[in-house]
Amino acid sequence: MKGLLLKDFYILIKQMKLVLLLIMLFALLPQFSYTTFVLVYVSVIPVTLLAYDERSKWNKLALTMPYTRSEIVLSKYVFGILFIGSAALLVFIGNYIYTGVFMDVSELKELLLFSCISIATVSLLLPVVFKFGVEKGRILFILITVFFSALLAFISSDNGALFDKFTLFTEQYPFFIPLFTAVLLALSILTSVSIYIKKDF
Amino acid sequence: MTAIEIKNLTKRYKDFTLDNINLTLPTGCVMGLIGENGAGKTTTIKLISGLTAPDSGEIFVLGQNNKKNFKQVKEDIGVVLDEAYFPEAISAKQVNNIMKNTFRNWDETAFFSYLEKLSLPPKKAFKDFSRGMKMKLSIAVALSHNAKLLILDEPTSGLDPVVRDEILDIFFDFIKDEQHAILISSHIVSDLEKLCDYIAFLHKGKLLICEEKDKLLEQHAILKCRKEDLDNLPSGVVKGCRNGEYGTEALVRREAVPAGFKLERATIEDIFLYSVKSAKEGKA
Repeated sequence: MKGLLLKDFYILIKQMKLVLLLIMLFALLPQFSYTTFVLVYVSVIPVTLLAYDERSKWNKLALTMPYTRSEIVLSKYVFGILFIGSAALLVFIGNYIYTGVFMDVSELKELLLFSCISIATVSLLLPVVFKFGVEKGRILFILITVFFSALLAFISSDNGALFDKFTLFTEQYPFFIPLFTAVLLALSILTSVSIYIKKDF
Repeated sequence: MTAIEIKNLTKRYKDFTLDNINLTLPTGCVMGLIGENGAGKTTTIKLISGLTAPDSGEIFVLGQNNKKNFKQVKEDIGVVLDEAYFPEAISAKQVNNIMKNTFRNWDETAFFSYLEKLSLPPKKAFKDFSRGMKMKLSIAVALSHNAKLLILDEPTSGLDPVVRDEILDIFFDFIKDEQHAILISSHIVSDLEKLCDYIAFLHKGKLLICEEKDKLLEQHAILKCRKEDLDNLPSGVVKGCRNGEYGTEALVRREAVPAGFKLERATIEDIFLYSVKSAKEGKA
């Protein structure tokens, strides 16, 4: 799978310089709220990489090489998670550079929460793209975004009471979000693999 | 051992069916897959390479069913698809790094010497390659991991005659090893005639002929005569004919022609064209 990851890395470096620069910039800016931006932006990277694959029809070529279909699917998840991890690390370092102290537990928790949200976003997006392709998948992204915005609006509608409940819940069960993300990720991988295995190229 | 064995292979699309194909390619041999555009050459190659799943039938590649443990087998296969599908941004040098982490037997030295031989720039981005250069890069990759079997879909189309000749030479070199085999599709029949031991004709998803090239050439001949003479020949002798202003030219079974007729050597192209022509007329 190393070859596949390396290929994605090359594409990222060569074709998404601006995105990389933005991510670096916002990660290193001294405002923690930018973390949200960084980690959400990062979660669309695997999809963008798939768009490039689709355009060059790389998948056809990859399938003639010693890769199984599952490996090809998995490589996109691995790349996404590695990238989210790197971005989180960058935010952590940026914070240290600016404040001179390491993040405290609550800040680290927040960082973990945002990383989980990014991984969850990747988990929601990838099966859709594997099924419908990037072009048709776009409509579904918009729907997913609208859904989340509506959810957010709903949560914050009654003066943050629901949000407080949610915070309390995550305080009581700190492993809930990571665990939920892990389950979502596992389900997402299984779905993507079963979609990709049936595909004709 | 057989390099490729295809049994009762069928694949249906909305507007095209690859119909019950059977063929065997022994190791040490080259098989040419000849057919018009849309005859099913690319479909056959995609099925063998595992890009597409058949509706029925089985495919064995280097003795292994291509539905099971095919990853291992793919280490030993070099595939050149109808087009080179490398990512636009990457260079040949980066392709080398990717393949080094892809094929267990990747031979860097071989790859760079092919780049030089085929005059491919190592640092230029793939999107700036000409069509010929793209195909050449594909061929270089297929040849640089000690493959035992090459599966080539129109590898020489879009290349100029000089480069085509160079590449045919590379294939000739490759096939000197008796453990090696090549399946090559093309509509440049003259290329195939030089290279191949076996010839398979595809026409509208059906395999018309699959035979040793020498046998095909031995069995067939071109007969030029008057139309009346042709009509007097026993049935089954004439495999296809073309009526011209000055006489008739026909593809005939050499053995079955009575003595006294002057026969000319038939080329693979003749045999292909007449076979397709008679297949078309047979249907009409």
